[in-house]
Amino acid sequence: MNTIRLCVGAACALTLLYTAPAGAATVKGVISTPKKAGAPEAIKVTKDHAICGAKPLTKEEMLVSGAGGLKNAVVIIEGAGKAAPGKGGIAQQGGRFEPHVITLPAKSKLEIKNNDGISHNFHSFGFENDPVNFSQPGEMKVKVVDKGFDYPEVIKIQCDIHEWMNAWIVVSDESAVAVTGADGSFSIANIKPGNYTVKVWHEKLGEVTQKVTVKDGDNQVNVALGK
Amino acid sequence: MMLSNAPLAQALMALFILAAASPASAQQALTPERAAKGKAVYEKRCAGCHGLTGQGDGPAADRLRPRPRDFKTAFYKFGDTVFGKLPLDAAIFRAVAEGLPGSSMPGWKDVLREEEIWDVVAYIKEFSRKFARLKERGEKLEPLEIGTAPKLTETDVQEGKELFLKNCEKCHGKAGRGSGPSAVALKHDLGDRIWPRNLTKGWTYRNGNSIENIYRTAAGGITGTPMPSHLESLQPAQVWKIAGYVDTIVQRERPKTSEVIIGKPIEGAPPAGPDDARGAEAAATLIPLVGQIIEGERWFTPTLDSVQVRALYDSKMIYLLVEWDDPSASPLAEPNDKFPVNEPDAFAVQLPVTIPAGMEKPYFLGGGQNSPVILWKWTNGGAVETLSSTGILKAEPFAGPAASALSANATYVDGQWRALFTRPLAGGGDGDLTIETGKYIPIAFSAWDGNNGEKAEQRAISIWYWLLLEPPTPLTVYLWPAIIGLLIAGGELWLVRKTNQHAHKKE
Repeated sequence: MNTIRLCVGAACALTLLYTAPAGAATVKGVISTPKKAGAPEAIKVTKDHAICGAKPLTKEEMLVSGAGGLKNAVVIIEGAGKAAPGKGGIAQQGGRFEPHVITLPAKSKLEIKNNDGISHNFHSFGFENDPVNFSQPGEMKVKVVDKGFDYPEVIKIQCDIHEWMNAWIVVSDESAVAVTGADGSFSIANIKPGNYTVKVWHEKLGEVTQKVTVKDGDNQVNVALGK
Repeated sequence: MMLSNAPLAQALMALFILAAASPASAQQALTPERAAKGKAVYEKRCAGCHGLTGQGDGPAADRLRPRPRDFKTAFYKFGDTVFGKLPLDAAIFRAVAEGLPGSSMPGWKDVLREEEIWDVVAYIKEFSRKFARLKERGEKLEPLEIGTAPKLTETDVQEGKELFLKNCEKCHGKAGRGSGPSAVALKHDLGDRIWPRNLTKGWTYRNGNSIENIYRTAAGGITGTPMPSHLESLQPAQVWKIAGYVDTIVQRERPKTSEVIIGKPIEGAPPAGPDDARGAEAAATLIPLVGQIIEGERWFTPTLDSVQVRALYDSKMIYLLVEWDDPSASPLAEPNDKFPVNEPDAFAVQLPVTIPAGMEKPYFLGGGQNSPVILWKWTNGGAVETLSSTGILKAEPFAGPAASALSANATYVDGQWRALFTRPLAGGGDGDLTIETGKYIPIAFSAWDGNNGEKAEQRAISIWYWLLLEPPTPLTVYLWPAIIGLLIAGGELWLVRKTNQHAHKKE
């Protein structure tokens, strides 16, 4: 899915570069942290072992690569464009949410899958957006929440039945957003050259902003969190 | 139909309007003027708990569980709407007027006039900008539709039970006592630990315990808590069946308590354990428990609210059967990351060292310097021991030469501990209590929920009650009426014979 998204993104970027070589830039870089995280801690699975313990689960709140790259940080280039509402997705799978962090354009629909065949619940902790909490038994393989993600906000998601299961949805009305990969890298294409504020958010290390000037071609933006 | 009599029509109309306006929940226009008036009432009556800025942070808030509502986040638990949606005005009005049973929120309808309550409702809505935003968006709140309870057959209720076990058991437990496997790791959205309702104790339901109330909560969930809505996954008819099943396990009225626990004499085999049917031969007394908030590390957030006590005895031994609901048997076999605290559950029976001659009892909180008490303490997975205590912070191993042999046998099933304390009536000697029949013996109880972090003086306690071992009815009680009856019958026979003889003589 992500690969497809990346390919599509890259294809779009290439097309744009080809058709309008003077007007588009790519912002890429690495979000890092000097904090040493070590191997992720194992999660204590206390119920539904057959499904939730099938693959050993580890905590996902602080995933740092050997080189200090920070996974699951969200990068937003503010003012680069308005996001069009669409559809996002997240799945309850093997006793965890996949993916752990997603971005969602404001006013989008959200498709929630239950691939586990056991009861989960989907509990969002919004403040600006009304929270939702509904049970999602095994038979309910897909549930689409039509509305309720209208305002930009970082929303925590929890399954209360399985207390270790959580995820994050970053609702944003900006179009230039990305979630960092395992090495902390990100790449956002198709940005008009200009001055912007880059906002980086991470569930444990909080939020930092940085002013950047984007020029034609590739722009390297590296941000360190938790210094 | 037209009414020809105009004054009568007007009078009827006036009556109709009055009748429509009189129910407490009739919607009122919540104008800014109303809110301004409500501010004064709020600051006098509500701010102590809910805080001047409505964020549930008044001076008393830290001592209350559940915490007072934070009106700024507007997570109203009981809003008559589905999970996460803003509450209806009528629901806020109801909470203020009637209070929320089982929480610290009292009903204000006897203190405030209806108009004043509406003023307060108007004011507290201003703490959150979500109400104004709703108006700006031109949206209206959709009330959670309840309708009337359908007639449910036995099959429906049985289906309801199956649905309950599938959808509710993870938190509320097999027996509905709030002891499911997920119950020990739940949090309120604002961070406090939270427990699922013990559905058997209807008097602790916050939002009413009628079958319609049960449906409403099961269908819509409770905003700001792990209790989800179920209308996404179930049909209303299925939720009604669940409500119908809960209806069969709920005890709506709080059982009456009594000052005296009557101990019943038994003959033959004594109860072998806490689940032995013989235990049920004695009447049960419900003893309320509260957090210990007097000495040492005070405890404002107990999870255990009552214990049911039965006493039996024979010529040698006393058998004390105690039953209390606890959401988990701790230490937990599978502790979780969310609440790693995992002390053992425990229970103690408190008794004086000697039976007091008059009404004066030792200090109820673990005895006093000059009025020691003994404790029969059971700890899950640990020893059963007799302790000597001269204060709640001063419980020591038994001080006398020897304590009478005490044993305790406890089982935990579906959210309920049942423990049978057994001990000879005779004390072990100096410093130990000898239990006598026919005497009022002070008795008190303490209970610890280890998974709630309770230990030492942080526990749930009772005040003193009385234990009275009812003396066995002596044989003479049955003999005398028989003897008297025989005597009277004999006398009457004698009288009849005498009268007959007299009559014969006359002839």
